Amino acid sequence: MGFIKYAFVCKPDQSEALLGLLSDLPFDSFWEEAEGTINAYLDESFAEAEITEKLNPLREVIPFSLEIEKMEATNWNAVWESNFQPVQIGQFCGIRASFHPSFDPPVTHEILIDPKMAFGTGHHETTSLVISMMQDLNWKGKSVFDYGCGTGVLAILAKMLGAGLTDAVDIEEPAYENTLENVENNGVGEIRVYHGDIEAVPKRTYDLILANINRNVILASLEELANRLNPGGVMIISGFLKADVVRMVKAVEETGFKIRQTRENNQWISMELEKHL
Amino acid sequence: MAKEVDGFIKLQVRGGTANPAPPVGPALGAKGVNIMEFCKRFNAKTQDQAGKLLPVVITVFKDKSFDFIIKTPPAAVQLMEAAKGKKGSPEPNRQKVAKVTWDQVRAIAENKMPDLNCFTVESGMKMVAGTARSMGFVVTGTPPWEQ
Repeated sequence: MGFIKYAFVCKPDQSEALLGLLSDLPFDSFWEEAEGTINAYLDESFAEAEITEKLNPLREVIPFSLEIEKMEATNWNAVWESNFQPVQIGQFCGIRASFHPSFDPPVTHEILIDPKMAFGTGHHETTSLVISMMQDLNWKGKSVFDYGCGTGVLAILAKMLGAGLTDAVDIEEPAYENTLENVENNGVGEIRVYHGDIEAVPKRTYDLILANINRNVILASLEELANRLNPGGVMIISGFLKADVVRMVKAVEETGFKIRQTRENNQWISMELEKHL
Repeated sequence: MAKEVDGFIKLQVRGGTANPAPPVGPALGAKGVNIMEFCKRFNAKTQDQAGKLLPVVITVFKDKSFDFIIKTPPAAVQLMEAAKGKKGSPEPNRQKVAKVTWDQVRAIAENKMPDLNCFTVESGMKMVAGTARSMGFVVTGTPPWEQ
């Protein structure tokens, strides 16, 4: 998918007013690159002519110059990716890129992740918390669903731990593509990867669910996730902050889960839940 | 010792929805910042303001680490919402179509006080009203200081 960049230049003291007017158009977010310079972006599916037609009346309120440029989607995370350091969660698991040497001394489970623009390298507390919780569970032959898979790191680890049928889904296209690549690079066998929200995954139930996303998505999906978990099944949720704990506890208990344990690292929280029999 | 600052990035991103697409991707990526780490942190902190356009100033350090502060939504964006989505007038001096009330201006000024460079709500209201006029909006009624 490509993008169209709209670079607006106006008088610096009119910049905020212009931003306000632009906020009513389909632009999602803006970059104020310099005083009086506002960059706005749309994906290429928007008709350029339709947008420029809407911009013309604004130009009479606030004079601005405009440059429109087509951009190809690229791996904007490449600079960080080229410098990222391997991550180790005890002796249990190590995550490295394909350009890093193997862990020495070796770890029990070594995962190769070239993350590009997907989330899940183990650097972030949410991912490392989930991995530390996965260490204590039995995965042998269990069916697993990784909801919001990012790089696919958790689904890949589940397979390394002996999981059976494993499904993964992510709404972000770069994450979906990245999971496919990482699954292949790790040679862990079949993981069925889907692109979209939870409805993109064929209905079935699982023994274990991993949901490392964020508070709002987890809350919105909680009932559906409960429906997709076998009685007595375990779900690990992560990606929310300590400030959200009261709300999360209420929601998961009302949905029929028992909280087995909660872990915290630097304000980030992971919970291990069990579905009532 | 304080970390050495490499630069600042100023974005306007909707709460809870940061993703690696532009502008977040190219703005942060060029500085070598981990884009996905920013998205995760920003989205978690803005879950309660999902969909609202929020100014975020990101400080990038020489070691590629970063920190950020989230400000209140820009007055101009709040004015646009207050005018119920009506467009600014194409001819602001003759055909003023979008209207906001002084009560709305006060509410926006009070919301923006932490970010405005002023000491009283009244002076904040004058700044917000100035932004409204720049957008081609009319502020209806009598300002409270003239009542």
